[in-house]
Amino acid sequence: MSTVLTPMSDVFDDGSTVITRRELKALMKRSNKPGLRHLGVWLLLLCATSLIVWIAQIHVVLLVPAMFVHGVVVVHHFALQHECSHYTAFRSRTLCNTLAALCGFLLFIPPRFFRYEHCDHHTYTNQPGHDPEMIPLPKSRAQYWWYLSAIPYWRSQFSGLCRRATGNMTEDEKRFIPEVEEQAIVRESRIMLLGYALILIPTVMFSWTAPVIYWWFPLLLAEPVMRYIRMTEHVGRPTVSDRTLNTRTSKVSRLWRFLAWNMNYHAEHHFAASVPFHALPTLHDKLEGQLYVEQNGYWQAHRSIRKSIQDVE
Amino acid sequence: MNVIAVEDLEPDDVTTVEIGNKQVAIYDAADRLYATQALCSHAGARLCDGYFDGHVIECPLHQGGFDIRDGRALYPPVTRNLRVYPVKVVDGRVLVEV
Repeated sequence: MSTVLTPMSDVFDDGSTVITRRELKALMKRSNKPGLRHLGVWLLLLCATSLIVWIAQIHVVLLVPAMFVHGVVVVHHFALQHECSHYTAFRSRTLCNTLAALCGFLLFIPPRFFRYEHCDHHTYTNQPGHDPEMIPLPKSRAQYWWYLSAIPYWRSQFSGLCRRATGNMTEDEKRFIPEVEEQAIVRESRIMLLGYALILIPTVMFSWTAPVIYWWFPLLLAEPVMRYIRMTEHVGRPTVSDRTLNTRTSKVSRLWRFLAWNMNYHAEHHFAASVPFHALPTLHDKLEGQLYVEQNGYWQAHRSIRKSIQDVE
Repeated sequence: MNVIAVEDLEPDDVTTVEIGNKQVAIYDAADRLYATQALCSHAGARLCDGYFDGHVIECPLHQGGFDIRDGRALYPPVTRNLRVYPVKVVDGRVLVEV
């Protein structure tokens, strides 16, 4: 049988087909097993870092670095939420929805809203004025570090959550949220805020420290790590619709790949978002030479970003 | 409309055919063949590029899902149903009524 152009045939219309349609379809196959295995190890790691925080309570000098280490795992729940939002973490959509909701609550990212926003990100990847998740290339070193502080991120997350809870959507949000879904998005924001209030009240009233040392402080301390990683996905890449150019894959160590649920293979993910996390390394091998790859990981990606900033300064 | 030989369909998968100026997706499901419009009702992605599992076709761009038996939009972000077309096999050829 002759080779059929890949499903993402618009990318390979120039005839440089390196993967057949059947090969790609095979990689899209869903399964619960790899996700459950990954989740099992994930939970063990979470228990281990929580234990470190518990032990470190003996002294504040130990507690801060312990919360940071734990926080690095906590902020990576974003990778799981992201994978579940694509329904590729598990074959079961119910499991994907449940975990996306739990991770979203943990990270203050409303799962339903994120799903719609992220869909638009995949439609208009790195297109200024259209991609709702676009992180613009900072105009200066100061802006670069300001973004990495995560302060603008948290400000935007909290203000967005509160605004939508009052029923207000921006024009941009109305563009990607179907009208029939607007009330569900408002309801979701309200439920999340109510949930946080129900946890905050006993925390303040009874000096309950658990949410503070195992959740909020670690999240605040380590969010810059997630900002650092998220920047490597598209920042500094050409703002064009060509997916072979606008997205960056970063080759990283096994530990970082595990934490990111393989989302460091970001160009492959944007090439075929239906391919589950566990098949991305195989897709990466198949597409060798077709996508933009930073061989030396996140660090090298940031060197490129800083070089781009230097060029515009 | 006689559109394609059964043996030319992608086995257990989706094949797009052109009927006049219309594109139709034909699904080789375990029980029988089904046919729907070929483009996703959300953002117009080609459904033949999506993941096909049982009676659900998933949009390759945003992973929204449709039931191919009645075109029902199942999972967000899709909210509008797909058009479905009657399909049958006669003498090894697929006939679609558009």
